[in-house]
Amino acid sequence: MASLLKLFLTLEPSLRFYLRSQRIAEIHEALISSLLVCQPKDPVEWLLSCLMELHSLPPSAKINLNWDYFIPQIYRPVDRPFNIESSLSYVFAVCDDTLEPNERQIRMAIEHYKLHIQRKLFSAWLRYHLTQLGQKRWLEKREQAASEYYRVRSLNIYFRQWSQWVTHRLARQKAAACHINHCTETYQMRIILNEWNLVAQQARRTRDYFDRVERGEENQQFNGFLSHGEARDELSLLTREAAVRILAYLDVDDLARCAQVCRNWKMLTQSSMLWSKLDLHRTSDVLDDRLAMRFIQRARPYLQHLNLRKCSRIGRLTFLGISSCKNLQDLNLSECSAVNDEAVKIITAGCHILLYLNLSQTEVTDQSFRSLARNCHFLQYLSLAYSRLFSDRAFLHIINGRGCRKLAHLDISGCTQLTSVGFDAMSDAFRELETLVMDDMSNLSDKHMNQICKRLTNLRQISMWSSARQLTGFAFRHMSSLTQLMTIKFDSNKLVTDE
Amino acid sequence: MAGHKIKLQSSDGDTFDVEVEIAKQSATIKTMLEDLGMDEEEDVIPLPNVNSAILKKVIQWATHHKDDPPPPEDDENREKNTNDISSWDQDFLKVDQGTLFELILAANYLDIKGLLDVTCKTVANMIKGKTPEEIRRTFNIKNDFTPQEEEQIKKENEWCEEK
Repeated sequence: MASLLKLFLTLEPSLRFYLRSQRIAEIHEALISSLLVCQPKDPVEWLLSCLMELHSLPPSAKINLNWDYFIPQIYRPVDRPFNIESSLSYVFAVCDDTLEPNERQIRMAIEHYKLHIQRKLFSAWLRYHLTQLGQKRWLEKREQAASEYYRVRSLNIYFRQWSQWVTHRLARQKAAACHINHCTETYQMRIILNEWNLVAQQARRTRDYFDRVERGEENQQFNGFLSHGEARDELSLLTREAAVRILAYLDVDDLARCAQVCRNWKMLTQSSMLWSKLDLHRTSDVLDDRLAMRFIQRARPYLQHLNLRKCSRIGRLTFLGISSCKNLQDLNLSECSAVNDEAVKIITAGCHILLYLNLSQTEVTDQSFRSLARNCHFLQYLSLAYSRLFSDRAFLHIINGRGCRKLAHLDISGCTQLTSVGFDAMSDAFRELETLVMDDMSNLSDKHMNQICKRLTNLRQISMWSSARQLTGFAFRHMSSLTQLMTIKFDSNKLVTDE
Repeated sequence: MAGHKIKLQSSDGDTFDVEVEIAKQSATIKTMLEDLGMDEEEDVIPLPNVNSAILKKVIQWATHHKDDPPPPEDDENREKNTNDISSWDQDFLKVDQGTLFELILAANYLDIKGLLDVTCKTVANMIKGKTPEEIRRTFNIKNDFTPQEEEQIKKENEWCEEK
C-alpha cells in the first residue's frame, strides 16, 4: 500500500484527477476485500467474474459501489478485513481538487512565508543587535570601571608617594630643627663656658695675687703696710728670711698653732720654703686621708721631701695626692701598713724624679718592683728593710726594666726570704751600688758574699750588723777584691780568724 | 795670716779689732774682703745695721767658734732637730728677747750661718709645744684676727689639738 501511496503522491494532479473520477480506488477496495474474504482458488477467474458483473452494472450503481459488493451475502463480515479505504481515502483525499492550493493561496503562503522569514530574520537581527548593544554597554562599563580603578590606583600611589615625601620632609625638618637647636645650645654653652673660664681665670689670678701677698712675696709693694699688719713683736720685725728660718725648725702641728697667733704669723707660716719639706711622722696618730690631702694640696708645688713614717691611717686617696706632687724627690713610707703594690704603682706613676724611697716594713711584693723599674729612672736610695713579701724574682723585674740603674744605696736588712738566686739577680740589677745594708740577716753565707763581690765592684760600704755569723775567711777574701771598699760593719762573728 | 786683724765699725761709731779668720765666719765680710781686696790694717769695715752691744756679742760668739768646721751648705736637708745646741751657746743665748732678735738680725745681715742657726733654734724652742695664746704671751703679740677669722682658722687647724 505504501508503494501505492507513493505512486499517488508522485502522480501528476491530472492523473490523480483521472483516478478519482473513474472511482478506481473504490473498485480496487471492493476487489481486494472480496479476494481476502472469499479466498477463491483461482483468483484471476474470480477477478474476471467480478469485473464482468461490474461492467454489467448501470453507471449509477457504479458510483455507489460498496466495499462488500463482490462478497456473497453469507460471507459478508461485519468489519472490513483491512482498512484499505482509510489509507486509500487519504491518498485520494489528498488528490482532491479542493486541496490543491490556488494562486492566491500560494501567494498568501508566499507572503506568509516571507513574513515569517522576515519576522524570524528581524527577531534574529534584533537579538543580535541587542546582544551587540549589551556587549558594547558591558564593555563600556568595564572600561569605565577600569579607568576609574586606574585613576584611583594612580591617585593612591601618588598619595602614598606624597605622604612618604611629606613624612620624609617632616623628619628632615625635625632633624634640621634638632641640629639647629643643638648648634645653638653648643654655641651658647661655648659662650657661657668662655665667659665662665674668663671669670674663673680672673678669680684665680686674684686669689693667687692675694695668696702671694699673704705669703709676703709681693712685699715690695706693700712693705710696712700689709706684710706686717699691726704686728709689732720681734719675730714680725725680723726680716722675712730670718723669720721663716725660725719657723723652719718647727713641725707641722707647731706651725698650725703659729698660724693661729696673728695675721702676720699666719702669713709667715704659708711661706713656700716651709712646705718643701713635710714631716708628718709626728702627727701620724691623727693623720688620716683628709688631713694628709690638705697638707699635700697646700704643699704640692713646693714639696720635695715627704715623710709619712708610721702613718697607718692613710690610704689610696693620699697616694693619689702624692702622685700629683711632681717635684717630690724624697719619700718615706716606712711602716705604713697601707702601702702595697697598688700604692707604689700610683705613686711612681706620678713622681718621676724620686731620688729617695723608703719602703721598709711595708707590704710590697714583686709587682712593686715592676713599677719601680718602669718609672723611677733616677732612684738613688731604696730601703726595703723588713719588707718580707717580695721574693728573689723581684730583682728580675729590675733587670728587665729600664729604671733604678743609678741606685747607689740599698737596704735589704731583715729580708731573710732572699736566697742565693735573689742575691745573684740583685747584684746583676744594681751594678752602680755603693752602699749595701744587710743588717739582721741571719742566713747570710759565704756564697752570697761571693755573688755580691763578683759584680758589685763599686761598693764602698757594707753593713752586716748581726748577720755575719756564718761568714768565714773566704767571704772576707772575696771582699778584699773590692778595691773601693771603705767601711765594713759587722759583729758577733766567731769564725773569722786573724787571717 | 794668723793674728792679722781688721777693724769693724758698729752703727754707733765704735770700732772693734777682730782677727780676719774670726771675721771671715761672716760670709758678708768675707765677700767684702775678697771682692774689694780690703786687707789693709787701716781699713775699717762699717756695719751700719749692727750696734755696739750686739756686735760685741757677735764677736764673742765668733771667737768661741772660730775652730768649728764650716756648717753644711745644704739648706734643704737640714734636720728639724732643735735640741743640739751646745751648752756654751745655751748660756750665751740666755739674754732678753730683744737682744736675741737683734742677734738674729745681725747674724742674718752678716750672714753667719752658725749663729743664725743656733739663735733660730733657740727661738723655735720657745715656740714649740705652746698654744697660740701662750705664744702670744711669750712674744707679746696682739691678736689681730677678727672673731670670724679666728673661728675659721681654728676650725682649719683643730686637728693639732686632738692629740
